[in-house]
Amino acid sequence: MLLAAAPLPSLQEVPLQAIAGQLAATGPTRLTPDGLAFDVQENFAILLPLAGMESLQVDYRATGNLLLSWGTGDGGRIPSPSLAPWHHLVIAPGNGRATLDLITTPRWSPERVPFLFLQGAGSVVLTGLRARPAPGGREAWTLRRDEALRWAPLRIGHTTINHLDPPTWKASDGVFLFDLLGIAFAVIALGGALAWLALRRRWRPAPFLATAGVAAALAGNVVFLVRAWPALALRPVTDPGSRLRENFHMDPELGALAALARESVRPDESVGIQTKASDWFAWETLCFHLAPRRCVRVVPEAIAFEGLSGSGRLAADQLDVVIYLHAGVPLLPGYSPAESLSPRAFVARRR
Amino acid sequence: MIFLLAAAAVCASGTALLRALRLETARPAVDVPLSWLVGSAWIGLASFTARGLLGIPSGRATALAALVLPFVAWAAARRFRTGRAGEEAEGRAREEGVSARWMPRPRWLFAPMAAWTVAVALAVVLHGLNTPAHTDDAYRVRAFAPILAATGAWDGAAREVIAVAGPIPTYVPALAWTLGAEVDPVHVSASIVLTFLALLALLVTLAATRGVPEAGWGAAFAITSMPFLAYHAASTYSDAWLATFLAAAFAFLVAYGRGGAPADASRAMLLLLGAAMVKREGELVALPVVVVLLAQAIWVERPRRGTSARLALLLGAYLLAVASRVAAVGVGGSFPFLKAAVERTVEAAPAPATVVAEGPGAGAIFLRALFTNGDLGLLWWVLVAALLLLLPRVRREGLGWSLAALALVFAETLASAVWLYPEFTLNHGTVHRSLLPVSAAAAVWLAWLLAAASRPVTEAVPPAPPGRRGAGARTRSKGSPRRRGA
Repeated sequence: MLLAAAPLPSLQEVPLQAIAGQLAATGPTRLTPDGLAFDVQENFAILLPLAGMESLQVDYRATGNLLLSWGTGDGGRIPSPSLAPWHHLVIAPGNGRATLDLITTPRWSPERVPFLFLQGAGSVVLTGLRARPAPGGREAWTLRRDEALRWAPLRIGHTTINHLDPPTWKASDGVFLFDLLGIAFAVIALGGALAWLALRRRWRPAPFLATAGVAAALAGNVVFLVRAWPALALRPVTDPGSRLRENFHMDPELGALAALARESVRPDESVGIQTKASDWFAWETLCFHLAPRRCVRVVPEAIAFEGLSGSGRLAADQLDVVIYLHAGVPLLPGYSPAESLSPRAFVARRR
Repeated sequence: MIFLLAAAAVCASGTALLRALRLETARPAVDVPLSWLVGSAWIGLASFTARGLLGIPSGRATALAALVLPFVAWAAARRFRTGRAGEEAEGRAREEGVSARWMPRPRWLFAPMAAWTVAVALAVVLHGLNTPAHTDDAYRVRAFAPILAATGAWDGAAREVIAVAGPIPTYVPALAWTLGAEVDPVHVSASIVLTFLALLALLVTLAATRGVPEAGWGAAFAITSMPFLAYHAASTYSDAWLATFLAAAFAFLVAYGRGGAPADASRAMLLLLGAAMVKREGELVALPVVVVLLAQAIWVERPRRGTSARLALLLGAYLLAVASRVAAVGVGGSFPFLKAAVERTVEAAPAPATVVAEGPGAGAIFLRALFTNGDLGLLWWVLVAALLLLLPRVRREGLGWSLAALALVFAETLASAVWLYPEFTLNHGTVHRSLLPVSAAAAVWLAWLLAAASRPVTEAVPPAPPGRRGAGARTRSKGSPRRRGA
């Protein structure tokens, strides 16, 4: 948090007026007296004409529940924003400042330009923009990238369930931290045991194995601690709604909608979730957090709808509530929004 | 708060069961964490057997009965049992004959280890309880299963979900909800966080009460130095839960190998029963350890009637859990792992189409998962080095049987990753997670080996049980059970 709030050294101010004409975005942008403004309705991507930067600092004013992902692209098509390691953060409503580390994003090189990808619903005004150029020369920026990757924060993404990103020592040469630590451990342990044998004429490897093992493990732990710290949620939260609103970092809008739904749908009501056909994540998340309320995924053409893991079937006329999230099709007939996060994220009840 | 009340009830039930079986250690520092693990295993077994095998619907009455039954058993045991059997008395003497030592030495080495262990435990508690009951997936089966159980769902889909999650992850978090509390998925997180804390506490206190605090802190440090295990203890994934039960079982397995107290064999068996009831493959992960433990008990101790009866009872409970699962989802649904193995062997079926056509093979990825990726810390580096340099000490320290059990679990994990399901190794889908249980068990084993082998020469002989000259002694003393090797 402190790092995000403090100005970075050698940051250069980027006048928004100067780049406004060179932006590429998936929707309209406006240059206002306050800054560069745009609206987010589900998704919004913007490519900034700032090649050769290793980090950005963005001042913003936002409304709504937004998720910002960022990375770099070749200037044409915007790559998948959630490519591992997925760089993302929650943009809270109000004024804020975010420091965006570009040099550790996938496939970064000085030739690539940064992109910002916002998800959710709301409006954003970029009120200030600063950038730090990467060191000149291939050798210098490679060294800088290796160092940045060594200490890069853990980015929890959709593949973290399977493994953490392997910590590197010198990514450019494919040298991994734990290979180095393992070799260092082996050398110290064996060297110590052999030295003891030479000096005392006794073969006692166990203390050296233990001490070298602990020392090397502690070194690895320190790196893990530094990398994991930004991802930890250490402030105690006591109720399920706050947990979803504050710490659902994958999709803050979805977390806020799940919390709203938990609070507004009675336990005896039946719920249908209406999302995009391809969006498995949203409906499963909402149904899970609404359980044990009867909850199914609304598929417009289907006669009956199914719940999580094939449990529970409900017909359209059995639903009391429909939760709608960027479905891309009209709300089921017979329902109207009752409580809303945004025009495309709301809880609807039978009319 | 409601969860804490439910957890206290589980602990009380576990304590009663331990006393009914006469397996309490009489050391509260050990018995409290052990009672949570044993109570969880009991709630899982009783609820799943009632629902799956006996057809009794889940509900408040069933949950209350499950909580109360151990007290009935304890009362019955007190009423009908007279005196202690000779073997049991000797076992107690073996445990109690060792004076507890709480401060590990040297302190300059163990202070940072203890600090790290406590820091990780705190982080797991806070992060685990502050985040929604999943962090990187839409929902998890093991988090949904308790909700289904609490609502009494038992149709085909619900049975499948509950069988995949396993009885402990299903019925322990559901306990408070079944008794009337509002469903809050944080109970799932809290259950696994508490299980993780119970493991750390058990490792530290058990080793200290056996006079080897270095082994306990070493094991706790090694386990908290596995970043992926700490992550999944907080993210509440089932493999961390399975790892916890397996590691706890190994703590008693190792203690049994070194001290020879028959009660430790039964405690290990009880915790293996717990491991068998986490996830669908829990039974198979626990099975080789169960086999080795029984072989050790028969071969080394020739257990008397009391211990044999207890081990048989626990083996029966293991089979009951298996039978309940088969009754719920059939043989195929219960053991897809075995089905795949049979298909692969009998039909010589080729491996399923791999996701990654180029790049390293499954074996290379498995090796990287062990040594390079850092998910398991440096554990396997140290373990391999210790095995190479300290192999002669393994038998002398009474760690041979537990090493055999560890080797079998490792072989099972390797076979699964490289032969049975290579596609999930090639795409990095499950290989890292599947290594968590065997790695947690290996951490416990390694810590005991290093602690035992690092002792100064004056302390080199393990604590001798009454009537014996030492753990390494081969001569039977008069009145002690026959032991063939250590």
